Amino acid sequence: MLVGVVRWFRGYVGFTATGRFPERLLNLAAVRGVNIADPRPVEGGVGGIMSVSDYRRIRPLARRARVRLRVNRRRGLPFVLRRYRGRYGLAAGAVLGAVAVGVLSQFLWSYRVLGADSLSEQHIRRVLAENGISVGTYLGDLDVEPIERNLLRELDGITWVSVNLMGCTADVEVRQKAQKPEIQSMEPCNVVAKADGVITKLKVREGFAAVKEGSGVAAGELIVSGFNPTKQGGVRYMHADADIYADVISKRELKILKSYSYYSLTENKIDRTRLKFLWFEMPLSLSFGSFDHRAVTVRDRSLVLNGTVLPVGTSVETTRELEMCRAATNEASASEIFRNAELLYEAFSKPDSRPVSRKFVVNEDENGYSCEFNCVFNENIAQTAEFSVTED
Amino acid sequence: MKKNLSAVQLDLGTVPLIEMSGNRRVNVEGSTGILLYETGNIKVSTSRMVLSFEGRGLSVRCISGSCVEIEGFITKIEFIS
Repeated sequence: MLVGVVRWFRGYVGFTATGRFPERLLNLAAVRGVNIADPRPVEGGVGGIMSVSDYRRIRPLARRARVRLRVNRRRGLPFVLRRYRGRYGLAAGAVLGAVAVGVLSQFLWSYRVLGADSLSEQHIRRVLAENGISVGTYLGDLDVEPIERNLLRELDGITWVSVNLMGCTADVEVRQKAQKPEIQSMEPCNVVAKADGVITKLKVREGFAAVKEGSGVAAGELIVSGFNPTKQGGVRYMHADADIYADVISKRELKILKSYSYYSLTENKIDRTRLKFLWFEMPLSLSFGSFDHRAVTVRDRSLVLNGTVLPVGTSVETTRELEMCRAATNEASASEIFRNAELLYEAFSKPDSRPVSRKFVVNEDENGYSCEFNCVFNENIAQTAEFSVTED
Repeated sequence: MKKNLSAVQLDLGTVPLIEMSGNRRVNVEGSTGILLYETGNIKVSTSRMVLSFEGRGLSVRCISGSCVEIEGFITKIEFIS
């Protein structure tokens, strides 16, 4: 293998020697120290391979052995270079390419953040940048251990971090803290009402119900007791547990103005594309326009080759014009807004409740409209209330 | 006795040294050249005799000024003097 590589770099020819004394050529070459590799008999002579310089040396020997030399094949670097002689651009390109590879391999091309499932990756990237890890960082300046220590100190919610440098890329692996499991307390407690309401359903798993279905309860009132009097006159304390469903009245009030203003996106926008290369940025488009009120979004794209993110990409900054819009509300549209607001409130604020009745009244004054919601929800109002037990 | 010993030493210095690995490889030290090179027969000249190797698929792996290494399936060796 190694011999083959060296032979390729020096260049070699395959030849056949035919004539009267081909064996003599082998002997003469051996005596003169000319290496003939893979000598083999061929029709009317011998063949083999040898380096280009040796081939020039055996021509007089061939005449002495009375054989005729014929080159079958030429292989190796000298012949490849000869094919491209005069094309200086290729050589310059190769040199520049080698220099570019050498220089670029000294910098960080890209990095990934792994394991940040519920943490903000943007926040982690910002902290990494503050600690010296960003695209284009000189790898010689990167000291991983202090960076990992700083990350652990500055990032909340992680227990372990590792910065793995792999050539010109890096993987930043983080491990989030495990959430504490919710441990159900078994301390003695009562179940009390969380809100005022009329009980519709009792589902007592532990304890003794103090009220019945149809009873009206006030917030904080005892519903399920954790005291269990024994026949011997003592008391056994237990952890009361129950689901108490009750119709609860919900009152809310919302107001909107008759006329109001807001910013709205228009169709006018300006795209500014920039070419990014490591830490260099160069504008690819010229746009000098500007808007008084604008919203800006930035979209970065990087070139990916064989799964490796290269330090070349584009950054498109889109500036959209915002215009001030004025809107007026009438009673019909106000009612529609109030109804939608109530539906959103039910969906997001009371997802486990069942609406029983829904009533709202829209009032108009000189500034705007107000709405009084008067709704009834059927919901679980059970709330545990622990108590301490002291023995005399 | 002394005369016989010196004769043996003389022979050891001029006769070829043949080293064989089974019938697949032969290394001849003290050769003065190849006289015949065919796949079925290779004749190697030495100072005292000519060695003839017959067989199948014979080839010279290496050749230098005084050493020849032959590889192949050797079926017969002949010493021609």
